[in-house]
Order: sequence, then C-alpha cells, then structure tokens
Amino acid sequence: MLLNIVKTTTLLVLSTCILHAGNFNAQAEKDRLALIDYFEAKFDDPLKNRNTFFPYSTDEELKNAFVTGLKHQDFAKGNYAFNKDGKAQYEEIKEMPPYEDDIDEGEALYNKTFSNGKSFASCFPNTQIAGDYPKYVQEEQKVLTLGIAINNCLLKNKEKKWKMSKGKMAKLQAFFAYESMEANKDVAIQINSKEAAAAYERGKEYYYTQRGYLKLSCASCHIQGAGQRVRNEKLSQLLGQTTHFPVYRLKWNGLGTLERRMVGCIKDEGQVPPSAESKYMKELLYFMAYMSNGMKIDGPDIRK
Amino acid sequence: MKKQLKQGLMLVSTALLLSACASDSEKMAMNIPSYGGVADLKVKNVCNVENMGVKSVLASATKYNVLAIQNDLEFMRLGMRNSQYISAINAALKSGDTNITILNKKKKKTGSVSLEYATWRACAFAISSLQQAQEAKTTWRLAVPGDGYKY
Repeated sequence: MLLNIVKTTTLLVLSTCILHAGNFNAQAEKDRLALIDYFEAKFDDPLKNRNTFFPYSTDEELKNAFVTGLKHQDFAKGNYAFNKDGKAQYEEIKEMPPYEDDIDEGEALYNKTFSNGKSFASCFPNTQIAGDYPKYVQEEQKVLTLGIAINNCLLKNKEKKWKMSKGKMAKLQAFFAYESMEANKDVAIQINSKEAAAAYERGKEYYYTQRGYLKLSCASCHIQGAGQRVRNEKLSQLLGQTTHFPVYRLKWNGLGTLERRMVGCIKDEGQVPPSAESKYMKELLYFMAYMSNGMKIDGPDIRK
Repeated sequence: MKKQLKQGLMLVSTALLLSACASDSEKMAMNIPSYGGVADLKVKNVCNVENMGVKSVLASATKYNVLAIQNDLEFMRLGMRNSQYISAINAALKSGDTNITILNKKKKKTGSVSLEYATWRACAFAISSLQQAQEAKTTWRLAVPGDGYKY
C-alpha cells in the first residue's frame, strides 16, 4: 500500500513539474493576447470608439486620418498601419529606401575577416536571426540582445567592440534584419525558465512604470496614447514596435538600433536613460520583443 | 481509509509543488524600497528655498539625488541631468553668480534660471524621482491591458 502511495505521489510530482516547466511563458502569452485584443479594438473603428479610445480627437480626424478594421499582423508596420497620411509619405520614401547601402555595408561587415582569420560567420552561421533576439541565456542568468551578441563575437575574436547605437552595429543588424525579412521569419522570443519569466516581468514593469519629471511611462504614449497626435505625428503602438529595427530615421539622418530609440524615448520622459548594455535596457527589450511574437520581421525600415 | 490517505497526500504534494514552482515576480514587484524614508517628505516644504534657505535645500537635493542615481531614477530636463543642476548651483554659490546656465548635450547655452529656482528644481526632482518610483510599485499594473487597465 505504501509503495503505491509513493509511486502515485512521485508520478504526480513529476507530471506537475513537467507541466509547469513547459508553461513559463503563460503570463507573457496572456499579456500578448490581451495586447492584440486591445489594439484590434482600438483601431477597429476609431470614430465609433471615440469615447473609449480617442476622446480628444476631432470627428474629421477620426473619420479621415485612420485606416480601420486592423488585425494583428497589420500592426507590424508601426503607426503606418493606421496613419493614412504617414503611410502615403512612407510609401513614397520606400520607393528609394535610404538604407539600401547600409544593408550592403552590413553584409560586407559580416563577411569581413577578423585579424585572426575568422569572421562573424563563426558566431552567426545563420543570418536569419533578427527575430530570435533578445534571448535569455540560462547559464549566464541574463538577457542577451543582438547588439551584445555581436560585441561578444568581436571580443571573442580579439576585436574592439562597437558602439551599440549606430554605425557598424546598426549596419550589421540591418543585414540580419533584411535576411530575416527575406526569409519570411517571425519574431520568435522564447521564455523557457522561471528566471527568463522573471526577466520578462521586470521588463514589463519597466515599460509600464511612470518615470521622469513628466511622469510618463512607455505605455502612456504607446498603449493608451497610441494613435493620438503629438504635434503633427501620431504615436505608434507597442504591438509590432520591434519588428522593423534597426530603422533609418529622418531625424537622425541615418540608421539606428532599437537601443538608440529607447534611450531617446526615456530622455523624452525626463529621466536619465539606462545604458544600452544595462540589465534594465535588456529586459525592457526582451518584454517589448515578446509582445511582437508571431509578427513578421520587417526591417530595416524608415521612420521619421 | 487508504483512498483518503492517498488523496490527501496527492493534494498536499500538488499544493506544495505549485507554490514552490510559482514565479516570485509578483513578490518582487511588491517589494517597495524605502529610498531613505522619502515617502514622508513633503516636497513643497523640504524644497522651499524661501523658508529653508538655498544651502539646506541644496543639501536635500544632493542627498536624495545620490539615491536617485544609485537606483537609475535620476531626472533630466532640457538636456541637463539633475546632478548637473546641482554642480551648477554649487559653482554659482562659490562664484557668487545669481543665475545658472542651462546647457544642452552639446554644452551649448539654451537659457538660464535663477539660483533659487534651480535649487528648488534640483531638490524637487531628486525627491520626486524616488517618491514616484515608490508609488509606481503599486500602480504600474493599472496600465496593463488584460490586467489593471480596463477599457
């Protein structure tokens, strides 16, 4: 009898652990699906849903300036998904994308040999990886972004590391993004452990926490504020925000990484931003990228 | 009897396992730091230059901004970190200047404010950054769709 009890209990313990082990992304999935529901509801018909989502917009704006009936994958285009005027200008610029040379330079950097005779191919044999980062590295108990992985590769091969925000870093990432887009890859962020889930949660908390002297959170503009106008620009939505980086920003007159954009956003909130290699930044990007899971990679791209 | 014992054991082990395996993220989120007891401070009083004097307000600004920096919460405005405001106030006190210069990230002058106003701002920024972070520990979920944010 006792043997039977022991057997049953062991079986139960094992199955509970296995079930739980495969479920580390349960909360993240719940968040992601709730976010999709929110944005699909918000941009289904802005005029009809004015009281809920756009109380300060004019009828004319809601009627004429928005694309309606948007579904999940449409949001991969950032605010050009719903912004009629912005999309028209975007499509004109896309006829001769200013970042094409950057992709070529990124490819040249990928193939260039280091002083030890190796190249980036020794660290990244697969170039269609833009949707796989950031990832949680269990052995090191930390989030690894693509930028840091690139710098780790340089250091491993006795080369100097690059700046995380622009220049060579952005160009090589543009090449990876382009290769991933051409291969029709999706954002595919994994949460495979309790520690990874905790890192995701910290990133989420950072995103939703009000900060800076303006007391704004990222969500103030890119969830509740998405679609609303700041001066003459419409704020983009969190959903799909990481699919198209690095971007060629007209304001920068060049290509920049997601870290560069986030540093700018946090400064705009009125707080000294965390560094691109800090735990805060890595976990923030981990959360943001997870929210775009399942969406097509669409980078590099253009933004104002 | 055997059946009851069996069921009891199963229930207990399941409960233990679930609680042991559960993520501790919520507990971490509710762990509110004290930031040197900043919650009880009233910015309008502590940072009032007229009543407290520039030196006392500057001392508060310096004390709490150190905590803000340590916790990655330091405020900045018009391209200047709060610590730069504090340095500029200290320099003005030494030189006898009555104004401090606002510099952008390229160190180009973009304006100036009175010493008193800069001191008030430095103190208010330092304390508010910490109080805001404390408050956010219990409010951030209110903005999460599918959690505290209802529409």
